[in-house]
Amino acid sequence: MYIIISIIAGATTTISNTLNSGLGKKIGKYQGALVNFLTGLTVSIIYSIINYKTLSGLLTINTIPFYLLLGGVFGCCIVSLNNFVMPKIPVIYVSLLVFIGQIITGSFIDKILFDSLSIGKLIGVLFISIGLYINILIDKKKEY
Amino acid sequence: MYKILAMLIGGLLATMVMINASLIDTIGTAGGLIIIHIGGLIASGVILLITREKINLKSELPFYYYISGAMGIFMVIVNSITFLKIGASLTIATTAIGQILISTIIDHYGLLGVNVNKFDTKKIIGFLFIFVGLVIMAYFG
Repeated sequence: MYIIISIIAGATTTISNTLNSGLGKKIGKYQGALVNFLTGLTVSIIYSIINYKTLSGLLTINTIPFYLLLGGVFGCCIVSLNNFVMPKIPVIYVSLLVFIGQIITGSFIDKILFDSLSIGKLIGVLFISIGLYINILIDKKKEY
Repeated sequence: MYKILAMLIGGLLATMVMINASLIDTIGTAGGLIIIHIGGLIASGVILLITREKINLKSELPFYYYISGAMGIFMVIVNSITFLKIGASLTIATTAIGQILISTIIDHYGLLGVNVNKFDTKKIIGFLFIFVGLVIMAYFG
């Protein structure tokens, strides 16, 4: 079940990225990001009004570690780095390299946070990487 | 150099999902969403000032460009839930699979203004590997 909704979230990510790059081309990358966070904030506020009971958690904001507040900043750094890297290496490699970076970090997080890094997961990751690589190669051939 | 940077982007992405999930876990979804977006708004404003990108916000943008910000909410919530329930690596793997599936569909039909790039049946081999990998991760992980 969680696997399926997570796959849907991944699909949403791509749709959102495609729209973002379209928006970035129209009004500039960082203004695109700004518009994005602005709409996101608006929807968050609407969400908070509907679920106002869960908003009380905000009162504990001074007790939580500072780095937990930096998620949005991370998102913005990712957009900037992406803009920097994208023109320099073929797009098809970017997605694979980003995936590898993600999965290495993710494996560390699993090990440290949940102590649940298994051989099975690593073998699975290897298979997925091979599959991604095969499809990327097929796409690459078409471009030339 | 740039390849290392691309991997660093992946590292930052995974860290971001962890931070957002812990935040939402600690102070609740509503407050978490607001903090994340205020943080992003401030950061993108600062970058906008540094890069001195020419301001040309148009009011006549097509409506659907604004949807992607709203989609972000869905992504943050789902990523946080799955991160806490099935762990980081499986969340990342499933998200990547969702991405490659939808890109294939978008390319095949040329949706969202993208050039049409018909599905190549050879890609079934790649998808087979991906599927087997997912099953191994989910059931033997």
